[in-house]
Amino acid sequence: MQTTHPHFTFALDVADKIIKLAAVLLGGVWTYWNYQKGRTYEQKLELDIVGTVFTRGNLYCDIKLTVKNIGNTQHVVEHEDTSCELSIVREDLSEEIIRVFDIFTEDDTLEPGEAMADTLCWSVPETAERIVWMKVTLLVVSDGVQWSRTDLVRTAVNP
Amino acid sequence: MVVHFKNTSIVSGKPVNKEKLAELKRRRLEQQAEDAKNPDKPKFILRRVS
Repeated sequence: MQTTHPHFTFALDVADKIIKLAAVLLGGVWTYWNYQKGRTYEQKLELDIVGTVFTRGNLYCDIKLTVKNIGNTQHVVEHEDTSCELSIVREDLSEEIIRVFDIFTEDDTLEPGEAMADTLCWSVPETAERIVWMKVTLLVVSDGVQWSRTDLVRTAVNP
Repeated sequence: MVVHFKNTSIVSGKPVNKEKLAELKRRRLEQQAEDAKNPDKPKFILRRVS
């Protein structure tokens, strides 16, 4: 019967334990790195601006604003600072804010995966031919952090 | 003429710009005062859809 050298068995056992320990440590580091990079439990929002600009005598704009919590933490929207700013840019590139809207006023808490939306309709009190772009800026403030998205829409009156 | 637009983005949060927020707040208060002075003027429509 062949016997294994006692030192060789011991070395194999030590190597096995070292490899297992290294694998556990590496797995832990990898998981922690992914957790940090994925910002799993930090605030994450998806902002959506959808709308239409059209003429019917005057220039009209309707916008649907949606904010969705795609993180795993709750958001509390601060109404006082959350708004939608509607601006026009004229052919001489001068810009004017037409209106600042209060939005998402009926609810303030966004649970993970939850979304809230508001729709705005507005008529621009200016000759449509002079307006080249409309600028829509959505600003959401939650827990001292601001999230903003701007969309620039070229009006077809001035293609 | 009809122009449709759509913009969906996942954006990163930033520390609040206090100056900008103060400017927006001042403008909203001005609008409210102006609306109060002209009650017959058509108001914007704000409709919650979901």
